[in-house]
Amino acid sequence: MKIDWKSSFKIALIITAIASVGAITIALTNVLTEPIIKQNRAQREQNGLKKVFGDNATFGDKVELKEDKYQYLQAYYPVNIDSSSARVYSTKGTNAYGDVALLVGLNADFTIYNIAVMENTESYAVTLKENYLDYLINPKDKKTHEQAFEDTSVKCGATYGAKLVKDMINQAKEHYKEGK
Amino acid sequence: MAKGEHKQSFIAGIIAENPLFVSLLGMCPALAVTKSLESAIGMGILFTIVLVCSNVLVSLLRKVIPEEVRTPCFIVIIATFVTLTKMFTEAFLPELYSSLGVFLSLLVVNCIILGRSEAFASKNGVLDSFLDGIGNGIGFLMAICLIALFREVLGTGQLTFGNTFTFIADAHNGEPIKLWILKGEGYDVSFSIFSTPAGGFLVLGITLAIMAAINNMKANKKKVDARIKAQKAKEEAAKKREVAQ
Repeated sequence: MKIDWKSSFKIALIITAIASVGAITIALTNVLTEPIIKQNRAQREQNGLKKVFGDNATFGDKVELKEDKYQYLQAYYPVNIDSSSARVYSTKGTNAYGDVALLVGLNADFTIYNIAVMENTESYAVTLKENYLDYLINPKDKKTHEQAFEDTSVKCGATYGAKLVKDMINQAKEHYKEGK
Repeated sequence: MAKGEHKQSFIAGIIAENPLFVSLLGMCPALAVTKSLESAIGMGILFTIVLVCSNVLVSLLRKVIPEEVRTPCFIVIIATFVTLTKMFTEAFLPELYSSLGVFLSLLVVNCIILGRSEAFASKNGVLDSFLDGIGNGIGFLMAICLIALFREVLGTGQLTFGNTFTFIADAHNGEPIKLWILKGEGYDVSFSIFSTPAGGFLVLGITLAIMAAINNMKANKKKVDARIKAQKAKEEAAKKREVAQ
């Protein structure tokens, strides 16, 4: 087959031009929106921290985490509540259905204090929320969050979303136990 | 193009060629984001913005883009506008961004947007492509809002404003506005199934069935009217013949 170099070059040039203009526009918009997005995220995280431990708690400086062993842990905040220490872990995980980000509040005895959902973009987000997260965050029958966490393993532990959430919480617990 | 044809470009997408109810395109966002009316309004507006912008740019570049790589070029153009829309939404309407989730990014492969670029914008002028984008956008917005209205009212028994568009709540002392319809003190006749994905299919199916029934009724009425007219014409002709004899 004979290749028409002239028309091939023309096609490549046009696609490159369109893609370049698109990329430049996106980059310029990113410069404009990125600080606002970062500010929104920080604000959301601060609101999330208060959702987990309430207004009485004081939060220390954010400690970033980047360890292969704890792939779901992004950072933690030391917490002081009623003169005892605790931690809030910022966790994020991805599976085939989307992203889930949680703030996991842990007591000094490594039990769950409370959990806040920061992001749930799973295509079955409603299923994960209603079958798992709602039960975990608002335990029924006067159960603690820790008891609800144990129960949910039986209730719907077989779904991918639930497994992801369980792994995220367990990693937070393990990290806290290691005293890092 | 004549003024009447411009008008036709605009109106066609709203009712006669409604992308969702007539062409049955764009089902994915129509089922996914119609759990609440607010999310549906947000999705409809963002969809219209992307559709109008991509239609206009495709129309402007229609003589420059080579035939062989038409579709990849359209996808690059659409993806650029979707990314820009996504960034602005995340920055200025973060709650809407969270509620739409992955379905905002999926507009890149939305068959209505790509379809209008291919079928209309690449063959028509800028003004017509703009009007076609607005018309189809409004048609899609109306269709998903109708589904969302039924789903939210039937599924939760109420309409809530202010969860996604937080400025509504801010103007209302920080509390979302709730309109109780099927739910109130001492009664709750809502059906939670309508809030689930299955409920989305159900509402869409029922809406399509009602529209098909209305169309059938109109078609039947036309047939009956035509038959009556023909009958009358026959009778009149027979009368005339009798008089002549």
